[in-house]
Amino acid sequence: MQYSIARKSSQLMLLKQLTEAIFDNNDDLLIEVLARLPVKSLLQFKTVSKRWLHLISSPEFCRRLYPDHHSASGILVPEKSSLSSPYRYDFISLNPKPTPAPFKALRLPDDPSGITILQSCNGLLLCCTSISTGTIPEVYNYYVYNPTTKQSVTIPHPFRTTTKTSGPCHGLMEGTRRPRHLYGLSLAFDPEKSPYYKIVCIRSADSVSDIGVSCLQIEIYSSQTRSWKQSGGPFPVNSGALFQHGVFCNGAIHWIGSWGSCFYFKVEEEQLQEMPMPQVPEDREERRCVYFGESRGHLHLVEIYKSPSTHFDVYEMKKDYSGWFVKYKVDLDAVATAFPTMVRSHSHPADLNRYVFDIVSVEREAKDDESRVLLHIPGAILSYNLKEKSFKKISDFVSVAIEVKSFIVEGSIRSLKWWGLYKFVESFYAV
Amino acid sequence: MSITTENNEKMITLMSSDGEEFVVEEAVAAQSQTIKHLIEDGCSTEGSIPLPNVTGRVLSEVIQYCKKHSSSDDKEEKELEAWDAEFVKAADDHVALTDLMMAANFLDIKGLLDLVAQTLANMITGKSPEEVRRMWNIKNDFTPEEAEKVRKENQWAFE
Repeated sequence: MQYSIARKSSQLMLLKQLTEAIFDNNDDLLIEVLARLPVKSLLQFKTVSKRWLHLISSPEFCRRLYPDHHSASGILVPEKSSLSSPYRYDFISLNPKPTPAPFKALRLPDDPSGITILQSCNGLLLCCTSISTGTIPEVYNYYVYNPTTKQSVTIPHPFRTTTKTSGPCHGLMEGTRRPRHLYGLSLAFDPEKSPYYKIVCIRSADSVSDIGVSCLQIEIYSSQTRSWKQSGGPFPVNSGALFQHGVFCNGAIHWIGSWGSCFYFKVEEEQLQEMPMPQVPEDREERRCVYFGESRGHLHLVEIYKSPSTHFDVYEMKKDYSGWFVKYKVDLDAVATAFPTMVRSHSHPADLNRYVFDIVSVEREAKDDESRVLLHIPGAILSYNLKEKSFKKISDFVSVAIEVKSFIVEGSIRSLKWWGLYKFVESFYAV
Repeated sequence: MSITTENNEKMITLMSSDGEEFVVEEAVAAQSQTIKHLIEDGCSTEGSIPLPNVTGRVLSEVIQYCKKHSSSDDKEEKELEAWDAEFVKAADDHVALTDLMMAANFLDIKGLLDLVAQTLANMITGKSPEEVRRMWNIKNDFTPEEAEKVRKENQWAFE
């Protein structure tokens, strides 16, 4: 008797469930299922129902899908060092199970001839119209692109905003307005803090300072408001300061140049500050930076002034920005022995270019004894463990450019500039 | 009430929501973190452990899974994978699978939760939104305009 009642109630339950949609009252369980779907299915399934759209679009789900925004799946490398169009990218996969390249060339409807990456920031790319299409910067299109979801958004051009003048710079007289110059655009996106991103634009102000020094103006775009706003008034800055190839780290954008002062801009506080830099040796006129980048909230810098170039220090910025300290000491002599292709044996031992290698990336890992530096040597990408000083080849990275150049006596490798490499981080955040 | 077998295995009794009783080895039941904590808190010493959220039909499947996975620690991973595949195949439709997943969630059995969630995900991977709605009995609450807007934003995924 008891059995048959139990039986019946179980059948009733079954009936009830059949008429209900899947996990009607349990978002957590539906998310468990959704999180195991490929990106393409997820994007399609946004149209299943409003509930599905809401769950799939939520920042919590983005975080669930790719919990570690510090972990790069690969590196995008411009195929050519020249600025020819269309811009194409090689891809170095960093995963044990290789990730396919997210794209070869980027084309968007407004720029069918191709667009160029300006910066990669925690899963999103800041891009603009390819330079060689003959356009002038004033009419470039700027985009934020998510290579994982292939979604892009056009950013309104910063020059279409108006400026009021105040502070130490005064406005020019009517009719003498100079054409604006764009010093740089930088993306600031930290999914741990906010699902929205900001873009910082540094441009010439419509005014000069009292002492005739050029003035700059900062403007900030927010993806939350979808608009630009001016940050502070125009301010004078000595020439030489560079605001290109910004590196976003811990809520601030950092720029370095070959000479003059270097700056960083705290995005939330809207403060521009000077960054202390290691002293350039007296016999050198300019800074010789071979790497500048961020990893897991740490800013790294490598400068090489002395031969052999295989011995160098990786600097890390102190938390309080009071200066740099030597975080890792690197010795690549064993690497050069194992991979003689990186030695230009005919060159003088004191030649700073005797060893051919580029630093692709300094990767701080969650466990610091797994931290590594990725090196590009002719024909290969190596991973060099900074603690154990061990190394291994992770990819045969060969492109036509390298093959041709290895026959050229001077400089046998295409140089990979730190500012021309873009991390590919898988991300599901909206642009 | 705990029974001991001749192998000196401690046995415990689980009771489903519809009153079915299952006597299992403690090591099997402890695959469930929820039950493990109940045992640790001394809840298994008096009579059976009631599981008000799990029916007898589902509980018997869950116990099957736990038996297999508690006895095969050192077994070939491949064999276990094949067994898992057969196990979820037997649950044949998504209603049975969602029941199983809710039970795995309530009982906190991570391996089973992963297995069932992956099976459900595989069922709809590559399907169209319309097919998913039909398969899983979901009502389309978008207006045609709203649906078109979302589709446009993700155009490449529909091509």
